[in-house]
Amino acid sequence: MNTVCLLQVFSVTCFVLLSQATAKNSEDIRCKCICPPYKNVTRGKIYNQNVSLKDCNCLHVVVPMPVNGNDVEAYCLRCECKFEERSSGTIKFTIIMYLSILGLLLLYMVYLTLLEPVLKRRLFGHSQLIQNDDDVGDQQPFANAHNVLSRSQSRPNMLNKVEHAQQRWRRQVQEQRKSVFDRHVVLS
Amino acid sequence: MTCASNQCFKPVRHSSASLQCLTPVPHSSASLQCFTPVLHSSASLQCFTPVPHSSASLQCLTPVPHSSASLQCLTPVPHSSASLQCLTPVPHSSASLQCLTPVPHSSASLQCLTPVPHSSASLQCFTPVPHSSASLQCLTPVPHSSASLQCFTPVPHSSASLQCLTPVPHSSASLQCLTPVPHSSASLQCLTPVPHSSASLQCLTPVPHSSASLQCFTPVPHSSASLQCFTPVPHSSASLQCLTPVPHSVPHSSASLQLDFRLLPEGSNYVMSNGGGAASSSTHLLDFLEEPIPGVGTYDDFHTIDWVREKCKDRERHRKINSRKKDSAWEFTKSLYDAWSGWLVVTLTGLASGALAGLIDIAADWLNDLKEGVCLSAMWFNHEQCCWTSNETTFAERDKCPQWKSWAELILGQAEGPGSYIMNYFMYIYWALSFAFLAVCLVKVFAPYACGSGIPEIKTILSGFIIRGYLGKWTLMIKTITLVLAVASGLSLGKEGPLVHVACCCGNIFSYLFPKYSKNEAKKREVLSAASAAGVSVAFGAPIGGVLFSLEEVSYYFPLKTLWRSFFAALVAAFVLRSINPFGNSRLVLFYVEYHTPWYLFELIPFILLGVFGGLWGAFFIRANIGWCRRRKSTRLGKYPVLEVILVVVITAVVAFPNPYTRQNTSELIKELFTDCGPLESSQLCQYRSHMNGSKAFSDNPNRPAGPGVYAAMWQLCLALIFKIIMTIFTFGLKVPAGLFIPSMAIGAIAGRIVGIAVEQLAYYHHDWFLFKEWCEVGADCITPGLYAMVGAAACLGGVTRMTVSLVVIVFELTGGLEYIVPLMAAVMTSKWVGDAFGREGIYEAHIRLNGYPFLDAKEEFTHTTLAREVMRPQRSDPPLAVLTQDDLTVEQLQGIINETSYNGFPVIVSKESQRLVGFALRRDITIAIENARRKQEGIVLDSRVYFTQHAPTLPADSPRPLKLRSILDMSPFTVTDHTPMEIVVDIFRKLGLRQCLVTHNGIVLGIITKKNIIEHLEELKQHVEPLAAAWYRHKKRYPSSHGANGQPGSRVHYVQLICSFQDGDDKEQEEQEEEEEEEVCLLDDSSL
Repeated sequence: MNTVCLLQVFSVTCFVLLSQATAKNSEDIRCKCICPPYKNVTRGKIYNQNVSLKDCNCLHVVVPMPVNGNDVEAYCLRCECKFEERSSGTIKFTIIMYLSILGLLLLYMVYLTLLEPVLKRRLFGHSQLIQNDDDVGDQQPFANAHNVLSRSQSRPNMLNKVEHAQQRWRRQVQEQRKSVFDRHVVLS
Repeated sequence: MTCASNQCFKPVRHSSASLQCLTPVPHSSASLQCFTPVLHSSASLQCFTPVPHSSASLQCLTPVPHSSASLQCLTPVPHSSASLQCLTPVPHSSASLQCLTPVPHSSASLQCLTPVPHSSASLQCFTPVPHSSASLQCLTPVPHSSASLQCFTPVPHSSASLQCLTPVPHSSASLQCLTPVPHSSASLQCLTPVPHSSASLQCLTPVPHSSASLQCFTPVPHSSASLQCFTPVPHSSASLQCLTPVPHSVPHSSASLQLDFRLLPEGSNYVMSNGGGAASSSTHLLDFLEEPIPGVGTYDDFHTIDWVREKCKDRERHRKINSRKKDSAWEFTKSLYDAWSGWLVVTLTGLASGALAGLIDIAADWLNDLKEGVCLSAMWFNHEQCCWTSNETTFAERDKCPQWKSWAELILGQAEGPGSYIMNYFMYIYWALSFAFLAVCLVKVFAPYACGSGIPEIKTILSGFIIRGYLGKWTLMIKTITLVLAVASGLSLGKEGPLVHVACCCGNIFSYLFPKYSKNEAKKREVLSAASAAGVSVAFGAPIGGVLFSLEEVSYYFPLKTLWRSFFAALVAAFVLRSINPFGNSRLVLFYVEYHTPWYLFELIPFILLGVFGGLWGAFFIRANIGWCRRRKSTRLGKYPVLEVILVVVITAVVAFPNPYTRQNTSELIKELFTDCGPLESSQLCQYRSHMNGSKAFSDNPNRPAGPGVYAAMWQLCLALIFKIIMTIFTFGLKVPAGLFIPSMAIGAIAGRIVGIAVEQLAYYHHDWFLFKEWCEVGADCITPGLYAMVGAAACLGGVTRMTVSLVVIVFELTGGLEYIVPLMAAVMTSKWVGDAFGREGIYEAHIRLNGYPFLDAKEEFTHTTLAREVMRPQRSDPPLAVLTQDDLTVEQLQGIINETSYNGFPVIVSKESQRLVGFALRRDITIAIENARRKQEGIVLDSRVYFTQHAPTLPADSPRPLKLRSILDMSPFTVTDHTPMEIVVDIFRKLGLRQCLVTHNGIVLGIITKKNIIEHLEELKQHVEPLAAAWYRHKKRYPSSHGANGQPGSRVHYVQLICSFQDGDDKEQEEQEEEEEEEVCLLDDSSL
């Protein structure tokens, strides 16, 4: 239930941040006109202008006009104008969030793979490590039932719970790693 | 006047005091007084006084735990009295008084004053003569105590009373009366003032003038009191008085008074209470008070769910909610919430998958452009967004703007020249390598299940397989993060398949918010079906295509309700993605195109040729990729996933950079290939020769001769085609998130574009041919190479995945034109036919088979004439079936059977002699129930008898308390007879989603057929017919690690393992046979006891 609450809080925060970030920015609209070569204008041209939707046509966007006089209309008929809109706030928010999550994950990965074994060895010596290995191999059917029951019963305090959840997650990942990378029973 | 007295003052533990009286003369009295103050002592008094007016009393004053006192009276003459007084004030003591006094006017009383938890007191009376009275008074003031009084007094005027004064929670009191004669009265008084207590009084008195009363004074919620009477004759009275002071406003308290007037002959009461085998609900009525064991009904990892059982469970839950609906406003709200939860969960899933797809799109685009350079003004913009308002007006310079700096510009300070080219080349490889390395490391450290496409696994999960953690939070997060990295690294992979996985993770996570879905695996799969539709919807911007994809490709069970919900989820997801607008083009996908040119009938020939190409490519790809994956799985190659990814990505980057068509993002490549050459196009592909002669060329827009740019592009495209074909084979299956749709489409699009340009040039140079003369006048634009690219993409995708309808709809939604349905259909159907000619299964089925998942394909037909007898286990040569008997096993024997075998379930039979089927019990449920009983129920030891019947079997007097496992017994297992054709059995398994099926002959259990057996059987038959299909050599000498250190099979990986192990050779099979033999010996020994 706690995770659900956390999830909700997280999503609400995200929503608030997102709605702030996506506040309209005048830079975020453009009218893009693509004009093909025409008569003495030998190369195709692309024009971008920051104008509103109703002004999005060749006459407003293509400045300076490469042709003059009577040819303007003919030239403009060939141009294709598209009104485009983006949300730079969303992009910024997304990229920053993505990078921060990626950074956190990388830090955690470095901690798990490099620092933690060293710390553990220094703090507890070898006995702890050996014990941990034993825990993983516990696969008897009744031990399994034991796990199921204790999961539904025990209500320890917050810290224990976090610790317990982390241990369980680790064991799960180890199992997954075994079945994917060592035994190749799934996802090969 | 004899008297025997025994006084014990033994102060030390493990002592026992017994007094056996065999005094045959009346008026004798025997008393045993114990003052043993130390633990584990036991006192028993057995009286065999056959003459009246004798009295036996046992007084225990043992103040320390784990003591037990029992008094057994066998006084056959009236007017005798037996009393047992316990004053054991410490937990875990038990007191039992069994009376077998057959003569009237005897009285038995048991008074317990045990004030500490976990004590139990039971009084069993078998007084068959009237005017006897039995009373049990409990004064246990602490939780978890239980008191039961069972009376079997068949003669009138007897009375049984049970008074409980247990003021603390979790106590239970039950009084069962089976008094069939009138004028008997049974009363149960409970004064339990605290929650979670339960009191039940069951009367089966079929004769008038009997009265049953149950008085409850439970003032707090969560208590339940039930009085069940089956009195079919008038003048009986049943009263249930509840004095719950907060009636009906506090949830979860329930008082039920059920009067059943079904008249049944005497002696058949048991049958009725068994439920008769018809409806499972009536069983649950009587098992109501048996506290549900947590964890029963769930599944182990790598096991198959039982659809039938899950659906039954859901219907029952639904019925319960519906029946309570009218009780109160609260219940009504709850039922509304329940009814809406299905829509709510798909809405949430759609929202989340749309948002995640937006995140993935934006981040992947940005990261992909990071390989080339960086936006200095705002580093979170990709190339396109960076130059959003820049006014570089010419086509050639459209990609250049001052804010965007390539790496060479930043590092070397020069944008042109060989130095900067090499610098850019180097940086490209460097970024690609580091992205891929990060991706594979994250996958390996945090969530190994996040690798691959995910669609084969999701297909298997939807068909009813459990892979724990496959749809979990970490998998979701890592898959989302690493998918971006993998796509950006430039590997030949796409994000569409993984997006389906991501959406399914969302569906799974949100279904935990709703008990309707979190507790029922079958219902959860409905949500997952809808989620996969949402995944495809955001991947291709095709909501309808997504629904059809879910229906055609991934789903196993797809009722109409799920169809609507899938549609809704797909809609919501597409809407969210549209409002995020990740590409800035108001479209959901990058390669959205719009054509307006018509197509001509003769073009069907090249389209069909493209279909043939797609089919060939699909067949070749499946062969090659499966071969490579098998190699990876079986050789040392699989040991180095990180190294493999690094190698592949370096080769990809080194080869891809020089060719502009492979350097760019695959989605962009597809977009470029799809887009038709208009006047506004500037790419090399559109450099037709008419460009040279000025502006006039565009006025009538004819087919033009190809210029040197087009020829150069052709060469590059051919090289890109070969490169993509080779790299995709090696990429799909890497340990990073990798989808298959985009590379397949790219290959098809390249081939299609090449064909399109070839046809176009053909039409230009040979416009006098019969074909072209009809439709293509000179100077008219009749060939659209972009359309060919699209048809080619669809054909290749169809060849690989063997999808038809959904694929056409997806592509049609990509283009938004109904006009091209016929070319697409022609190409896709051709590619499916051609592909099927080389091998019937698509890439996903092939991967499912490679991994050995228990997936029963609904599309395959079963045409053989085998019988159920030939497929069932055990076969003639095998040892006999492992079965449980319904009431003569002990806990120890049961544990032995479970430890020694690896079967996931056991048939329960009446006895070794009759062999008739009673039901089916699952291994996991048995282990959980035993473990649970050990913890919560008192007196369950290794010697305890296990029974699956409604009532305990008659046991010898000194045996420990029996363990009832009826609640975990499936009393309606699916059975077929041994002569049922396998055709029908396979159909039953497919349509009902069974997990196992028992084979009977004249009601006697012969064997069992599991899903695994059927898949093995199909595989066997297939190998007989077409031996090239699958070589199982890879299993040789492998999987030792599936067994634990002691050689015991690990329970976790069984389901997958066993499928493989069947083919795998003799050694393991022998091992299993030995196990089975051992177990058989045990069983036989037990039955002889």
